[in-house]
This record gives sequence, C-alpha cells and structure tokens, in this order.
Amino acid sequence: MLMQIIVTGLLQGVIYALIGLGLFLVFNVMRVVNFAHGYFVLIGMYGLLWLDPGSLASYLLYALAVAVAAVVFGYVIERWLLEFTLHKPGHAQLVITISLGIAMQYFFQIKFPEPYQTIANPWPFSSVQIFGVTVSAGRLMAAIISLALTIAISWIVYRTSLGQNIRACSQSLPGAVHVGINFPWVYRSTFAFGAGIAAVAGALLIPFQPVSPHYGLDLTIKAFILVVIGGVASIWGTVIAGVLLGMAESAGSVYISGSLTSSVIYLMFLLVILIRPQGLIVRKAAFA
Amino acid sequence: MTSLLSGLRPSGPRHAINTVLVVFGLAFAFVYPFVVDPAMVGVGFIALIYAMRNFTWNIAGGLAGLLSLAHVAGFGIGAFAVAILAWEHGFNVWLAILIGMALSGILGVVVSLIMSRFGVNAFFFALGTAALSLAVSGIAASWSVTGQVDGLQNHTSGEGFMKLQWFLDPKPLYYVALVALILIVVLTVWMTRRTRFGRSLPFIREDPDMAASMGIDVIRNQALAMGMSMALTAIPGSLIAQYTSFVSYESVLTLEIGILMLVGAIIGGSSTLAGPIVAGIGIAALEEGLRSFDVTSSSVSSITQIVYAAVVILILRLGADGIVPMWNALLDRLFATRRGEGERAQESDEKETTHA
Amino acid sequence: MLEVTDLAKSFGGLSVLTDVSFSAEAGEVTALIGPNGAGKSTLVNLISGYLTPDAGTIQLDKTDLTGKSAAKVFEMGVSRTFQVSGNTAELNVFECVSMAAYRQSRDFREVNRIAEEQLRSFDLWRYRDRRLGDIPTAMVRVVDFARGMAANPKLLLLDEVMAGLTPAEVDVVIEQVRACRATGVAIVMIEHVLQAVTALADHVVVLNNGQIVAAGSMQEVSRSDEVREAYLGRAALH
Repeated sequence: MLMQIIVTGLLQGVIYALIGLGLFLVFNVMRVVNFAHGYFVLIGMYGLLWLDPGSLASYLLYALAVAVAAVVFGYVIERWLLEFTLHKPGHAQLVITISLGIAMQYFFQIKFPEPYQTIANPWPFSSVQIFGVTVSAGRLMAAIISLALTIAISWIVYRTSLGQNIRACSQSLPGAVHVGINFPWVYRSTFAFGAGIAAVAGALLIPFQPVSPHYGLDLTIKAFILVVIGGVASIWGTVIAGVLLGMAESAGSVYISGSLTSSVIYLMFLLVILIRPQGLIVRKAAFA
Repeated sequence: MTSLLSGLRPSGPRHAINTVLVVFGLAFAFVYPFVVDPAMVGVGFIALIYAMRNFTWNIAGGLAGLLSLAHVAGFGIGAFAVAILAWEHGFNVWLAILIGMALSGILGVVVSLIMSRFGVNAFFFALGTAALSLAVSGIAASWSVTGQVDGLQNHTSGEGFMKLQWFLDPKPLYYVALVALILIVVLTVWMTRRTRFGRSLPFIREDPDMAASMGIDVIRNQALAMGMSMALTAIPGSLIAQYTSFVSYESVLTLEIGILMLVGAIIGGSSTLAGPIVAGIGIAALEEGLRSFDVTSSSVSSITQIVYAAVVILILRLGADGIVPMWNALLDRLFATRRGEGERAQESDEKETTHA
Repeated sequence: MLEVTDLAKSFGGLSVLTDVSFSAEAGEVTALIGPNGAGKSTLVNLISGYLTPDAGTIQLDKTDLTGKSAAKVFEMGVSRTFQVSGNTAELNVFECVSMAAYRQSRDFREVNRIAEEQLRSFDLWRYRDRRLGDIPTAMVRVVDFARGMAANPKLLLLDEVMAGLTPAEVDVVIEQVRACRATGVAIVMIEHVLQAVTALADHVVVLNNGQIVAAGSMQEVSRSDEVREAYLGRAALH
C-alpha cells in the first residue's frame, strides 16, 4: 500500500512537474500566470483523442503534431492578446487568460460532449512491475519522458545563451533591454514554448488519464500550486513540489475519497500560504 | 443626506441623460411583472439575481481591485444556508439568510488575510481564491449534509413573506429581489462616499503604497471589502435557492459561476455602479434569447460562456473599460463640441497663470 | 525634529546606505542632494516606513519611528509626496486631499472642510472634481503638497517634486514649498534641480555612494572637494 502510494505518486508527480514547468517559465519571464495553461494541456489530450492514433508511430507523430499546433496557438495568443497589455496598469492579462481558458473549456465541451475519455495504450507493452506495484505503460512512459524533458529544459535554461536571455528578462527587463535583448521575441517564444510543453504533457497523459473539459481548470490550479510551493523562482523547486503533490494525491485517493482529495489538497495549499508564503522548498539557487 | 444627493445632481449632459435612464429603468423594473407574460417574470427575477451578484462581486473586484474567484463560495453558502437550515432543519428562512451572510463574510475576511501574504499580486489572488472555491465545491459534492451530488430539495410547505416562498407566483420573489438590489446599491453608494473605509478603496486599488503613505491600513481594508462583498453575495444565493427550491454543488458552486461574476462585472464596466447591473441583465436576456431559438440548455450555457469570453477579450483588446464606460465616452463625444471648447478655454487660462 | 542616526541598509549583500546621520529642523528646508544611485530614494523610503533599516534609528520629535509601517509613520506625522503613475492618474483630486485629512479628524464634514481649506489655500479649488491625470503637471505636484499638509504633519518628505517642470513652473512650486515651511513643518527635499535647492535650502546634506559626504549651507557644501568630485562632469544647472 505504501509502495503503491510512493510509486504512483512519484510517477504522477513528475508529469505534474512538467506541466508546472510551463507555467513557471511563463511566470518568471513575463510575470503572467497563464490561467489557460491547464487548457493548453487539454489541447494535447483532446488533440490526440480526435486524431485517434492506431500505432506507436502514429501516436508519436500525432503527439508532435499537437505540440507544434499548441506552439503556434501560444504564439498567436501572446502576440495578439497579451503583448499589448504588458507593462500597462490594470489586470487585463489576468482577465484575458481567464476568459481564454473558459472559451477553450466550452469549446471542448461542445466538440467532445462525452466526458472521461482516453485513448488506447499505444506503447508496445501493457504494464510493468515496480517494487511490487503494477504500473500501466502509459503512466510509466509519460513519467520517463516528462523527466527527460524537464532535464532538457533545465539544461537549456541554465546552460545555453537562449536560456541566459530568458533569465535576464526574468530578472530585470530594463537591464535586459539595456544589454540589447530582443525581449518581445523572448516573451513570444517562452509563451509558445510553455504551450508546447503543456500539449506534450497532455499527449503523454491521455493514454491513461481520462479527460473532461473542466480538467483544464484543475491542472492550471495544480500547476500554480507547484510554482508557489516550489518557491516561485527555482525549476527544481517546482519539480520537487510536483512530486510532493503527486504523492499527496495518491495518498489521498487511498485514504479519502477521490473527489475530496483535491479539496483537501487545495485547503492545505491555503494553509501553506498562510504559514510560509515563500513556499516550502528552500531555494539555494535563484532562477536568475 | 444633502451631500449624498449632491452626487446625484446632474453635472453635465451625460450625467443628466444617465440619470433619466436610471429613473426610467427603475420605473420599468417596478411595473415589469404586470406588463409581460407570467413566464417572463421568472426571467426578470434571474436577471435581477445576475445583476445583484455581479454588483456585489464588484465591491471587492471593481472598487477594491480584488479580482476574486472566491465569490461563488459566498453565493453557494447563501444558497446552502437556506437549504440546510430552513428546508432541512426548520430554521426561519430570514435567520438562515443572515447566518449565510455571516459565514460568507467571515470566509471573505479569512481568504483575504491569507492572500495578503502574497502582497498585491493579482494573479496569485485570483488563483488562490479559485483554489478555495474548488475546495468548497468539492466538499459540497462529497458531504451528505450538502446533499452530495444529488443536492437538497425544498420539501417545506407554506407560503408568504415570513417563509419567503411562493410556489406558483414568481412576482413576490421578483419584488424581494428588486428591493434587495436597490438596498444593496444604496448601501454601497453611502459606503463609498461617506465612510473613510469606502473612500480609501480607490487608493488601495490604484496604488496600495500611496494608500499606506496616507495612513490607510491596506490589509485590513482589503479584508473588510472582501468580507462585505462576500456577505452581500450570499443574498442572491439565498434568493435563487428559494426560487428554484433546489440546490446542489453543481447549481450554485461551480467555478464557472464565479468566473461569470468577474467577467460580467468587467464587461459591464467594473469602474461604474451601473456596469455590473447592466451586464447581468444583458446576460439574462441573451440566455433567454438563445433559449427561444430552441437551443438546448447545455449548449446554451456553453455558447453563452464562449460569447462572454470573446466579448470581454474584445473589449479589453480595444482598450475600453466596459459597456457603460464606452456608453459614457460616446455621450461625451456627442456633447464634446460645446463642452470641449469651454474646457479648452479654461485650460489655456490656467496655463497662462502658471507661467505668470 | 527629525533625527536620523547611523542608518544602514543593504539589499542582498549590496550595501546601499552606510552610517547615515543627519537632522532636519522644524520650519526649515533640508535638501538631500547627490548623484543618481547615491541612495536618496532608499533613505526616503526608510524614513517613510516602506523599508526597515538594517541598523540605526529614525526619530521624529523624540519618538522612535524605526521599522514602523508606512501607515503608522503617517499617523505619527510624516507625509510624503508620490510620483503620479499610470494608476494614480485615475484618482480624484478632492479625495486625495481628504483622505490625508483623516489624520486630523474622523468626522466626514470636518475632513471635507479641511480638504477644501487646503485646496483653496493652494489655489487648487477649481480642480476639485478632476482626476490627477487630467490636470497640469505642476498642479499635480501642488496637489501633493495640499495632500501632505492636510494631514497637519510634523515632517514633509518631498521626493523630486521639481522633476520635469519648466523653470516657470519650478518657481510656482518653490512658492508653495515656502508656504509650507512658513507653517512650521520640517521639510526634507530630495532634489536634482539646483534652481530649487539654491532658492529653498536652509540646510544641505550631500549623499554619495550611500554615505554623507558633506553637510551645511549651500555655500559651504558647494565649496567642498568631495561634493565637486561626486558631481564631476555634471552640468551645474539641470
């Protein structure tokens, strides 16, 4: 039982971490918390549901396709809906991303009225035994790929010049401009990239995670919780927070009912803010 | 009293026109149930509920600048208060309403104080309050006291003002809602003009640092604004429960309702008093219009939600403040030639004196 | 009136102010000058309660202000000016002045009376229905004074109130500062515009790299070598 909680929680947590990472990047660079982020994940989930891959090859191909579609979508949104609001007073970005999320949710509602759908397992094996716990192929592969992507993103952010530009913008925009960084380009690519990561996470989730339109909201809130608990400015803080969330969830679904688990987690989150608003993870290396 | 009314004295053509519109609107609202089909009275009631909850949301959102997604919890608490206390346990329904308001108000204060730990980040506030609403909704869906997924039915009998229910005639509840809305508006106007607390809200909203430098206790006033706003939001919740005789977590505690309050107030114009009310009425009319075109009710709600989202994005993209501010700007432009000249002459006089 | 002793502040290892001590007397204008980045804004933020010093004390009329919040510091008698940003442009002039008047009274009528009195005395009464963003820039600064004085403060902090004004507008604002000084308030003025400093300062404190490099009258200070060094290369007139 304990093993089950740990293994499932760990695997789920890594996937959450990837989703949180997209939100993390956008927030740190643009100071915008994208309310529609969870719905970008749904682009991946519903996209694959619609394309309905029959083989592993087509699954991977379609996953790439939805990621690209999400990147384009993200770019368009940033360019035409968000950019003009930045650096201006008022809460336009917040209202716009909220409205975007709602529009996407109801769009999915109309197009896919049937709730709780998944696709068939595309992987060549059906399940695996880890420490005596049965893990479905979908969940295992999703976790492995998520972890790989997280490491790759972390490498890009901390070890490449592109990442340096990203971090410069997040630390100080006037400073970045001063050094000649083309910050609109950084904004657009970060936002588009965040959308892409979200869609990939969605593609990884759909073989084993049933999707419904309102799931987008849950994912946005969870990604937000990760970023806050992880201390807002550390990639690995977000990842650790993701693992914690995953484990809390699997513990919750064992000891209390499923629908109550989320509620308890959200209330605990509010408690954490009350006691320690800077997050639970003590960060050694700041983002910038 | 005179200084309260002095705010109402027309100070220009735009103000005069708006005052006339308000007076006519009020008169129409009072005779409305007698001049329309009985079926439409219910629609009018719903319009008043939408208007009321947009307006009460706006006390925290538009006046104090706290873009809250917690208000649906207040709305739901108001509804469940009458369902649990009055329907299930025989409390007097008016007492149940007061208890609902108190609980909702306390929740508002607590949420605000917790969120204050983040400073003034609007995103964090919106998401934190959203998490709270989802938590409350999830608990209601699992708790037997709130009827879990099935909800609670009104099995009580008896009609009349003391019980606040009339099973066949929608008119009395309509008037109760109308009077409630008017009282809430008057209370809000009084609060924002005559109390230090109310007058401090624009400063907290626009520049909390400057507000603090003027001795305003920002955190305390934000909590009070949230508390007052949430408590008042319980009222439309209680009223709609009495109207439908049924509440469940799905009918009164979905985050979609919470977002609708925010979006509705902003579409109407969160910087005005009339904006949220106009938007609420407009949204009710839109829903009724869609229904009359034989659109299924689930599609009605999906389509209307997408329409609101598109409208608010469009309004913001145009750089406007909402429907009522756009209307005011239009009126100003229509009357600009006469007023504008007078003002420009005055301004050039002023520039003369400063250079003297 | 204001006694600042051994004040120190650092941000993340970077020391912004060290060993800062000076005083400002009632009925006098103390000018705080120095090149950009010298730490003047930080000093004003410390005195007005927005930041807490790492060391040192701030005393107003023998009462300790150190580390108290901005709202508390206002209650104790410190008023400060604020730059009009994109947000504050929406605020109503009369309301701005009235809110400050609540320091003197809790009564609605009395507060409005005080606000009217201040607005009239600064010749701002015709702007009472306007928004801050809709009145001439120089007048916005004067509204700041009206707001500051409506609180009947002991100390008035002026943060670069002459910035961006024409020489004629500067003269107008100089007059208003003199009027405030005449009421017996202690005034601490951060300023770059030398025209204003020369006209107003009873006492000058020069800050450079987070430390006081000179203090005294305008003549004494402009003769000091450290001050010349601090301003080396800068034009004397703004």
